[in-house]
Amino acid sequence: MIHKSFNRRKFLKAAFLGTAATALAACAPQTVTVEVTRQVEKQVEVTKEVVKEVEKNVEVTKEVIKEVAVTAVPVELKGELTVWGHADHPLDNAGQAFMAKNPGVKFTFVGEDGWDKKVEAALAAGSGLPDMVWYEADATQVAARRGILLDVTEMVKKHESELVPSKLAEARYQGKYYGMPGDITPNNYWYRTDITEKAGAKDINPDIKYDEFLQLSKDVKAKTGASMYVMNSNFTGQGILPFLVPHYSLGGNVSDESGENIVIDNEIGQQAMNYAKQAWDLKAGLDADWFSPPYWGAIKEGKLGGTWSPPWMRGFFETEVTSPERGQGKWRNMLVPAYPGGKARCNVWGGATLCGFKTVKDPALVMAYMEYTFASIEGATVTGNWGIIPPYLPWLKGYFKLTKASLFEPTWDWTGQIVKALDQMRTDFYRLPAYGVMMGSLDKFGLPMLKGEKPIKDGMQEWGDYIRAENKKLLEAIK
Amino acid sequence: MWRHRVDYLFISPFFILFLIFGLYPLLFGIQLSFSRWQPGKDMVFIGLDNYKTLLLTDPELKQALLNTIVMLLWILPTGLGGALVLAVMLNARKLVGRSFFRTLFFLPFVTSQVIVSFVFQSLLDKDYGWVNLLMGLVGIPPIPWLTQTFWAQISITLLLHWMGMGTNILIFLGALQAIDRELYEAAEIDGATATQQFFNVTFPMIRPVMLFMIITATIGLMNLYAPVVLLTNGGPGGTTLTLFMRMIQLMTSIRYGEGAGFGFIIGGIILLITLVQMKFLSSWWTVEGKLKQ
Repeated sequence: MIHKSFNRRKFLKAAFLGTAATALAACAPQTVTVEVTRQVEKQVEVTKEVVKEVEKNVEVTKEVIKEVAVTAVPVELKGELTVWGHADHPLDNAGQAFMAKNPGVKFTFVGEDGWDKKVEAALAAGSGLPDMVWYEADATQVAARRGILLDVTEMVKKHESELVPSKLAEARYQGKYYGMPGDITPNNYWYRTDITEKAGAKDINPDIKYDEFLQLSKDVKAKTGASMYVMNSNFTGQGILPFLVPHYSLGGNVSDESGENIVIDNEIGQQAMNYAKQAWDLKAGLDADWFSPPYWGAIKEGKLGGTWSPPWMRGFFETEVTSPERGQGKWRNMLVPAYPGGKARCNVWGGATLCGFKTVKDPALVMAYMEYTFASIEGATVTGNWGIIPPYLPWLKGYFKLTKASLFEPTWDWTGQIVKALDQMRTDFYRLPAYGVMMGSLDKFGLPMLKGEKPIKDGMQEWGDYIRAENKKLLEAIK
Repeated sequence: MWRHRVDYLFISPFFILFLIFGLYPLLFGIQLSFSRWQPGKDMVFIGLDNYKTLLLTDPELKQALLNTIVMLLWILPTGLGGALVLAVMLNARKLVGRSFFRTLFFLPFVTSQVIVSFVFQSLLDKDYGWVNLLMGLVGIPPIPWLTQTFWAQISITLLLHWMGMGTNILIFLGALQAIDRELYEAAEIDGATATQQFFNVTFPMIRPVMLFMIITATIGLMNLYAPVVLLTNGGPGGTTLTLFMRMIQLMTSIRYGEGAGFGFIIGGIILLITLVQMKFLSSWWTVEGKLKQ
């Protein structure tokens, strides 16, 4: 149903654009220059390309549906499932859809802050654990090392070729899978065209270099008062992205694949902090703590013209940005600005894994839910509509394009930009237990370097030593 | 004992609850502080290793202790001093609307800490907070209330005073009203001024209450957690990290043994400070000392 309407609408739109462009060309007065004619022809070409792309996309989705229909196993599922995670959660949406599909299943989602502490209490008590939780990447690795997670290797292996490789690695420990890869979060750069337009140039060059981006941020700040990135004085929340993005882009890591050797203080780490300092020194960033009332206030009032952002932020943005006056439908996304020598024009921030506990009563039911949520078109559509990016490649290559987003310009191919970022994601980036230690100490060690109170080389060395010591203690504690 | 079985039965609920929620956690905590453990696994006895790790290699202990003591030095004298001054003013016989002011000062105590902290966060924001906006109207440049160590400590102090002042005032007011009015009348006959009456009658009479307040406030401040987490979350750069916050950090990092050990270290520090306070202020337990002179 959705498919048909998409096809028709897109096709009509493309046809209209094509006709309009041709009519425009035909009706053009004799004084129109050759340049304009070329531009119109080019536009017609682009329109044709769009039509072709849509048709190709339709074919892919048709294939996928056929495949799902063939592989679907008509087994009646029964039982109860409980999942814990933060409030307002895509897994809850997926659970409701799973229940509708399997009337014999009772699904309960408990969404509240501090659920991770409840997990510890339940582990200590020896009872009361939910079936599944939504663990961040490093927490998944910690839990896997503690031996408390359900081994789902067999189920994940079945879908290995259909899942995004970089996300698979986050669920893997010693060759086994301890969770279903969840949100892949290929981060983009988001910006508001009405604000950049006020500063003189609506479009941002898709190949913009980091130094050009800093200059643009400075100009926009001077002309409109709006910030083109978040950089708060506490160096926390979204304000840490000016460091995390170049660190990822340049090929940096907190630890190596073993998780025992800390490498954050190498040349890449130092260079990334140097880039962060450039953004800090520019004093053009939005100085508001992430998710604080001033932060949302700034977004709604148009004081934030751009930001590095993970796709899942869309879910939170769309709850707040609810009218055109607040910026609804005025945002675009693109690959992050290019850093000299950078490997990837994106980064990863957040993005969790769906993990089951090894104490679950019905592992088969747990795995069926996992499979439905992140390895089926239906499940991926439900979670993807919420705002996260499921790692299921058939969905990403097909139905993802249908996902609606009120935040972005209606004609902007925002999903295409995410797919572009997806292609840039690294398979040699590790979010192991040390990653959590790094995230927990970034402000303490980063601030003195940003403020110029400590040379970057010395500061990074000191930070590296801290992570080394704390990581060792953590690994010892969870042995 | 059998003869008093019914009596024991009546007092048993307290002891049962104490055993479950008081004694058992304490003993478990002691055992944990000498062990390596994670929920669902066996506890491994490791002797003093946790304490050695904390005291010799934990970089946060020193910082958290320093931060906590600095905040204690800010908050304790200003909080108790301010409450005493306001209580004396509210105790004035000629004050109109005394009950109204008492209610007004006590109101913040019954307001949720979480809500108050969020309101403070909004009020004190450097760029968008009302405090800076109002100060800007009279030409005062914006103050980084939450993002610079000194001002962050001031902000925490303001928040704690706003929340705790009402209770302190009520306790002082109770102590002030218990002072026999004849003492003031006698002082007046002797020609004592209001200031002399305060230092020679009022203060000596409320010293036991003051000592009690100092000790309990010190214990409370050494365990400072929620308001700081909500207002600055230990920032900027860990400069408002408190002892209690560090203990929670260790616990949530699954380093339970170290966390338990940290708790006992905090307990030891509090005990030490309390003993010092009691040693130097021991004469404050009685009201007689000063009056006898």
